Amino acid sequence: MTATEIAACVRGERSQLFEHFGLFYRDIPEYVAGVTAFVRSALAAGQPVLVAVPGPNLELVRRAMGPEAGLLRLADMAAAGRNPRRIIGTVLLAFAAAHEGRRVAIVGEPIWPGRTPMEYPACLAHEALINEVFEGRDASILCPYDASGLDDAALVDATRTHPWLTDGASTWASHSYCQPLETVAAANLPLPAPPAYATEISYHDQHDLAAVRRFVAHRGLAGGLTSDQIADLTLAVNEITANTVEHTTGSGRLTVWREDGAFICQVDDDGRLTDPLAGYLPTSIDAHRGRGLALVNQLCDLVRLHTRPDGTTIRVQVAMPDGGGRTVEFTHGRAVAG
Amino acid sequence: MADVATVDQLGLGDHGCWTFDDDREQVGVRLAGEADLSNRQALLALLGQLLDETAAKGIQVVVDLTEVTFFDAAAARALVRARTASRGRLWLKGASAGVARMLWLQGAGEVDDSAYRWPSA
Repeated sequence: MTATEIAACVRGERSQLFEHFGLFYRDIPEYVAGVTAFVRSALAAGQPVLVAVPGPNLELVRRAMGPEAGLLRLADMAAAGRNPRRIIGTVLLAFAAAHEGRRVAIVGEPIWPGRTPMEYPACLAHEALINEVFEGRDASILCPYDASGLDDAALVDATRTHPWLTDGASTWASHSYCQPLETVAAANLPLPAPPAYATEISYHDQHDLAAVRRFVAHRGLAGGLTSDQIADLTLAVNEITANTVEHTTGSGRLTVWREDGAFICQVDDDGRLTDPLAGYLPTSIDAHRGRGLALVNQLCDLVRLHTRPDGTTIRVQVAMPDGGGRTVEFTHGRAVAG
Repeated sequence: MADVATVDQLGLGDHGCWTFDDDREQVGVRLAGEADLSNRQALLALLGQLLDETAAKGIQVVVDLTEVTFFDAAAARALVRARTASRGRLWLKGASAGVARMLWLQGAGEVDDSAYRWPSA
């Protein structure tokens, strides 16, 4: 938030601005108190309210709000936001667009203790980009952070991605707040090398794309994916590899493997992706560019990118249908992720 | 239905082989195979030509997708856009679950659900 905007806040003009709060809670009473205070003040102001938090926490909010819960739009973030790269487009902006011309209030909890180390950098970039995307929009977003369940690094990151912090009782400006694109750059981390047992295929031009799709389908079938998962993964990999052919001068390599309950496809090429918002924003039907990654974000459970001056790695994964034994853990409850 | 042109592998070779008389009310084209970057331009050209040549007489165009086994995002967008540009003259038929899903993902649902049905006329 700029000095001018902060001055405007002090003058009581905050309602015209985008506000992004980090809420640190240590237990259920603090969670319920912080979230319901935000929600009730938005309802009192006649604002449409979306609560998008992981299932068990959603239930806490539903119970605490009683009959008023019917006034809220509720979404299970563990499902709608499983892939952090699609939260801005399909959860947050979609809700704002459905209430165009009105100030909206959103409780969004994209980070919880069960997020994996592979998911976390995507969550961090998401939190930072909210500030970029919502700048100038008439909205407030409250992001609860489980201060007793998350590690310290995640809590420090939250002070970098939220211009305002609150404990439910009081609110203060974060002195650690960073420019969103700096945080996104810090989250642009190298991805681990594929394991030795992974299989790969190279592609060179548009006539190789059919073979790439065949490769994904065969490996997916052998790996135990459902036919719907195979269809979606094939669509996703086709868009990524077609991008290589269309927008770079060189070849690409697709590597495929199973690991930790997930089926993973990684594409390496020498293209350079410079737009940090690529794939985050909904695009019009007439847009010729930029829809590929948005579609990939819809189709996959996790999408990670590593962009470098001399190349790009895009890693997409879907959860194995048996769940691979993965459990999403919360401090105050448990939910099994399929 | 009127003449059906099978455009094998989405326009490779047979592109433009359909014919129709001026007094026909409907013309059909059957797409087959996989639509991807390798035949994107051929598909765009096919759809553009179909709509252009039928526009003056307001002829209905039916695109039969029964034999399409893969649609990439751009191909689905091309059909959704063609449907919009046709002002209701272009109809889609026989989309498999996978192709229908891609059309839906690319906004076909926002256009008109009736695009999936045969014209009643």
